[in-house]
Amino acid sequence: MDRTELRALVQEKLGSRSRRLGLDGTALKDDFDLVRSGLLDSLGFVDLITDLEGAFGRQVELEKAFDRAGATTLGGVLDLFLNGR
Amino acid sequence: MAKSDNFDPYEVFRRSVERYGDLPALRIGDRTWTYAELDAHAASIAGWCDRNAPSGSRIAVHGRKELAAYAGILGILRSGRSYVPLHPDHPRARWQVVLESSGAAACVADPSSTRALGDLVDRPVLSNWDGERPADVRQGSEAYVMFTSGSTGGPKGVPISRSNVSAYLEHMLTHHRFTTGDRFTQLFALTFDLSVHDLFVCWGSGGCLCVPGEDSALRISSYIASNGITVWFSVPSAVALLRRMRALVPGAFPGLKHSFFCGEALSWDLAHAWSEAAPNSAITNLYGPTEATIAITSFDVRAAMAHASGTVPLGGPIGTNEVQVSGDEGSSEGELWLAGPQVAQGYLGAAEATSRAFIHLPGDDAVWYRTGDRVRKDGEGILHFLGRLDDQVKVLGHRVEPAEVDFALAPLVPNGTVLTLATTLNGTTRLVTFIDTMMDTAPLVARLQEVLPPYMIPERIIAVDGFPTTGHGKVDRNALFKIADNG
Repeated sequence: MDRTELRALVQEKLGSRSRRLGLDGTALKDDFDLVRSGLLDSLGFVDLITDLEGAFGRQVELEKAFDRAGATTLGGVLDLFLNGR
Repeated sequence: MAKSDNFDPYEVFRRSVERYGDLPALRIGDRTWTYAELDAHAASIAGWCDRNAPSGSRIAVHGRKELAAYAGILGILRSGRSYVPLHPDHPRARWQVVLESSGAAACVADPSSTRALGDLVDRPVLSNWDGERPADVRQGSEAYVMFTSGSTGGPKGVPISRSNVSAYLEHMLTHHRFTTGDRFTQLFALTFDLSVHDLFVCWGSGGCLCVPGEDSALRISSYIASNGITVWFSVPSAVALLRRMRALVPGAFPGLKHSFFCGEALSWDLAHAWSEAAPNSAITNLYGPTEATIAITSFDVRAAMAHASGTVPLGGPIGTNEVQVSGDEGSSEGELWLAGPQVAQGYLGAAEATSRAFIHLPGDDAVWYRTGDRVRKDGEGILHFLGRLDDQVKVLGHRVEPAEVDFALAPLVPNGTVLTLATTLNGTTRLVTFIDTMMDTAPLVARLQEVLPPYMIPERIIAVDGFPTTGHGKVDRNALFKIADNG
């Protein structure tokens, strides 16, 4: 899965919630913070990551992953799965 | 002086200042303040309060977890005044309701939050107390006002007296063995009355209050480890989050000595998992509405762990508080009523709501608070939570009246009816709002964000062409839940 495909997958998973907030999911930039924006709360964010783990067929070290700057941004989520960061 | 006055919240802090002045009292990020340093800040803020607000008045505190909030709360209490917290993430319209309802005469905020308050506050605002003349300690009667969700449209203010808090602190500080080496969590928002436990149980013990940074919910394990946390207090949802993050593993938190849970039902399943993750910790389940000051019943979880399943009991009343189950004659099930030194006298400026919830019984001087919680009292006097008698729900530990969401939306749906229901998604309670007329729902969320706290924003708003009804003509809630499930 490349970055474009993963972005599309994340946006699909965020779909109804993005629309709920009046956001155009396809226009979300990499620095958009999924938690601080109010789009997801902590539980919702963890659910998103575990959903993506299922799609990728591998687990990430969640707490370690969340302990880096920008972890809850859209770009941070993409990096987590594509670059292992 | 009544016995419990010795446990006045400012008094317990002041005693620790005298005994342990050089020990750490507060840690925020990498910064630490000793008891003596924190007291000096509080004394200066108290001096500012004396010069800018009437004696005995209420003073708002912007609840961003910075030194200003903690020293502000202490300074306000030191000055004999009462504090009214504002949640940093709540919309300005909510702040306005809180400020106006409470009649707060001034506000304490850190410099960055002063800008956020902007023109909302036409009262004196303190953000820098350098050079303020310190004030002596003054007695006060009210400790704080906290606001809870109200079913008739707006939040309800609950004034809590210093003697209410004293009764709670007397129990906690004499019943549990905390030490000056203990390091306490501060996970609760300052607008949640469970934060009063965080602050004053810690400071009454001479321990250090460890304030987590932003987004800390996702980094709880490292927060516990890096701060050397020994006393944990959270809603059970925080443990559920840890489990979902695969961090709730046996032996994960060996340094914890005391764990307290409150704010929502604790399942035995989670309690078992926590007991293994924190094998050296006592575990206490607490229960109590804001109206009864922090928590009014307590249950020792480990003592009953062997054969338990379902939901952890609420336990029995703490201190000299009283409980009774009001139901059919001879029945052990019914509504839980509370009385005693922790029970408030009523709501702020809401006589009707007060008279419904706070009642007097014939031949009894006590004020009994009707909780709306349905409970069962077993043969040993232990209370078990069965559910609510009304629609109130808990969302991540926050008390929510779904009708308050409906009230906020109603003006935007002039030709329809709004109905907010609670449902469980992925094991978590969430709100779903239904509207019985077809319309674009996106603008509605934007409106709600202007007036309601984030946890009250529904997970979804679903427009349907008329509500389904039961054979008796009532709204068929099960059919609505199915629509939500399929949507």
